[in-house]
Amino acid sequence: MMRPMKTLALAALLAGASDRASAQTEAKSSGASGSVYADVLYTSTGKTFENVLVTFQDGRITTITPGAKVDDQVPHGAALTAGMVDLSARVARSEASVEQTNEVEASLSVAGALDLFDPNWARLAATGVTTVLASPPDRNVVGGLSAILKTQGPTDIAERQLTGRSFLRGAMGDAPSSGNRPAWGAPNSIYNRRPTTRMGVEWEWRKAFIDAASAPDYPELEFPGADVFRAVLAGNVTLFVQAFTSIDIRTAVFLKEEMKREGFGDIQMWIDSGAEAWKDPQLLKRSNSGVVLPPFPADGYSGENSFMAWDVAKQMDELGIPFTLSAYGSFSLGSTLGDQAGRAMHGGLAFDKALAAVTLVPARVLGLEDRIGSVEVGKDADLVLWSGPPFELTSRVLAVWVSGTPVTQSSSATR
Amino acid sequence: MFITALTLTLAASWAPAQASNQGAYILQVDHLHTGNGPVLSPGKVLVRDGVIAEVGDAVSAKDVPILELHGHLSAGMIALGDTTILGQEGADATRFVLPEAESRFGFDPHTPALRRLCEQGITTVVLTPPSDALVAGRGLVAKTGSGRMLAKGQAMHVAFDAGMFEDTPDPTPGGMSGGGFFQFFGPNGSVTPNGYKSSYPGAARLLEDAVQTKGSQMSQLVGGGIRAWLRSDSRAETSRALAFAMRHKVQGTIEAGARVGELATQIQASGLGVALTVFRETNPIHATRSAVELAKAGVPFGFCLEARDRNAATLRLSAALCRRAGLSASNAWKALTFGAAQAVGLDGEIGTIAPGKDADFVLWDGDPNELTSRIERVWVDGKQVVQNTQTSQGGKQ
Repeated sequence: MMRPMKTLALAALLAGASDRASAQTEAKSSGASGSVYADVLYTSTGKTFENVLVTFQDGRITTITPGAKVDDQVPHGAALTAGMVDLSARVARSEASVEQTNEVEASLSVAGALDLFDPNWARLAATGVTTVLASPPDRNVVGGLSAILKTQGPTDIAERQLTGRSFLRGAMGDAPSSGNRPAWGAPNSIYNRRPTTRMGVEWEWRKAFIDAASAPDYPELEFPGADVFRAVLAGNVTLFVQAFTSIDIRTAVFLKEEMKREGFGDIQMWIDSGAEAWKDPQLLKRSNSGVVLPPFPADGYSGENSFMAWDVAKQMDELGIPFTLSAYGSFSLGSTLGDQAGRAMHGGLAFDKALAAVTLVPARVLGLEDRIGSVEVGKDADLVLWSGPPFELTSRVLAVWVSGTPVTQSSSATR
Repeated sequence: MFITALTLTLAASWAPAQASNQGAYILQVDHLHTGNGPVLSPGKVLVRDGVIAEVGDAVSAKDVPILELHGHLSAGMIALGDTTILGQEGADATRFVLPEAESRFGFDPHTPALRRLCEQGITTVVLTPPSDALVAGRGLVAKTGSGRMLAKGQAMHVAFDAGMFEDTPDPTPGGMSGGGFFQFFGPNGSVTPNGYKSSYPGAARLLEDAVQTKGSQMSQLVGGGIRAWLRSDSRAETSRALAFAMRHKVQGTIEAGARVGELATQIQASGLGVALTVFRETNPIHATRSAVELAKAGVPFGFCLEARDRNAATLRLSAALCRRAGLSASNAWKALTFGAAQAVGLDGEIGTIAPGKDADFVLWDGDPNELTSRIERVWVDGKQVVQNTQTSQGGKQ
């Protein structure tokens, strides 16, 4: 799998070599360099600077100067933060982004299915989200590998993708089991292989892990993608499991614990959309798993009838469970990632914790904290300029830079 | 060959040839548009056994009849990417990868649809399998006047668009969307006994495996052993198809959607030709701009036509719309003729009036590039197959 991908990158590079070279020179001379002035800079590392001038060159932050003078030539806003990171952005993907002909498809990556020409990338970037983890839609038990990418940049996936940790995406609960029925009648034939219940979903997971772990001794158990499961067991690939309800979070945690107990390996796990993480928090804490909280629902009910109040983020923080916030890649007014952080604050979370939950914490989860997630010299110039205090309903995003390139009005309205 | 012989007989019955059945003749016209060469006024062309032997202003040959006609003579036009003429018999939906399929065995050379193309000056049509498979097998290129198939026209059809997932059983709640035939009569649920895939990455891996299987039909795509027809629609799909072509040095044509112009530079580097999507109400602005961008980048391209759904005259209308977007008259004409021929690798056979090429001509009563010009006569492989009795010989002057 890796070899063709590399060749692809090379081929694509050669294809547009001249075109891209000129585009890059252009970016270096103008787009990827610049400066921004803010009354307050929240670095995400706990530091706050006032009247600060931030300059960047070739896509990286070069200087941070507190107490600087206002310059009319430089964009000026009330607050500056790092670009936000959404670990569960559901953008520019479709039914055709996940291979559903297998219940367990670990060897494919969603990278080959993302539409980087989709204008929604620019719309998302304009809300201040600069990096996302894109995962295959949860239509089967294990959908495949996720991809890390900036929300703006080259339209060639090989160039756009960031190299951080790898994530194997799958789901517990009723997403992979609902609807797996014939057009009519009961699922009464041996050909109805797909799970129709949570039990069936769990069975697919366990079978995949146990087969993969046993295949070195029992070669007949080998299956396509088994190596990915072994990498998960070895801790080299993070398991990223959607589980809204407490029953599904429990199932995921028990699976992880069973694998450890059996001596197969210690799985690094993050629960996606763990709306009911608050119901059995000690279990989650015991498992050392982190949780991505889904968008805060207005009526209290998140996906799969899970219940989630606005204080869940605060509870996770108090219990010391690693968590991040997600807007599912929404760019709608009132439901952006910044708005989710605002709701978490409304639920009692402190501002710096809310900021970390949409910047530095997800950056660490991706293994990219050296590059993104905070405003520091040498890091990527992923910046969001706000008109007032960040995440407040009365504040708006004035400007966004992705790797030093401004997200422009025209790029957010390309269609 | 058998079919060819049959169809030639039929073609003769369509329009009794005036100039000559076989053998040699000279056409003399007021204006001869060679294509990518000069316009000869007057001009002569010597045709021998359906092939152009000589072109010039002073062509002569012993014992060869000369037919003097008034008007403008051009090469016949070329329509790309027609799926309607083949119809259901042109593609087999039972397998997701079926490189051995050949559309020519499902092609009816007598179909009246060809005749309608012919009457609009389209002398060659590229037929693509109307398939939702990843690899639908080989298409064909046919002469409209006779149904004759060109030996070099059998490109291997590979899909990169979402259309190929339409036959995949859909395990959504309700399960009625998509699925098609196999949803009801095949094994239910998500099982695909015919190897269908439901995703871009799944199809891409299958394709990769197919071309890397040594000695297979598909492996001949690598390095251009067999020409390919890569069907795409969105820019993402087109760029995936391009990456595939570059990776395996595939030669052929990329069928692409209205915004393909944004990838013109990359396509130029790939060496592929472009079949520009059928212009629809929703896409003409982007499609016409794309034509301009492709021409600027030097990418050979032509226009697709769905002959049973749309009047054959819309091929010329597509070119006219592109001129509105800034495409030069010569480039618009090129897209209708030798640009399209280049795009499908047949520029040695068709597309211009030049020695050695098929004697496919259109006689117009005015400049072929003007939409007001009307078609008076059409020749295919040297045989006159259309004579429009409604226009007066002599044309507008």
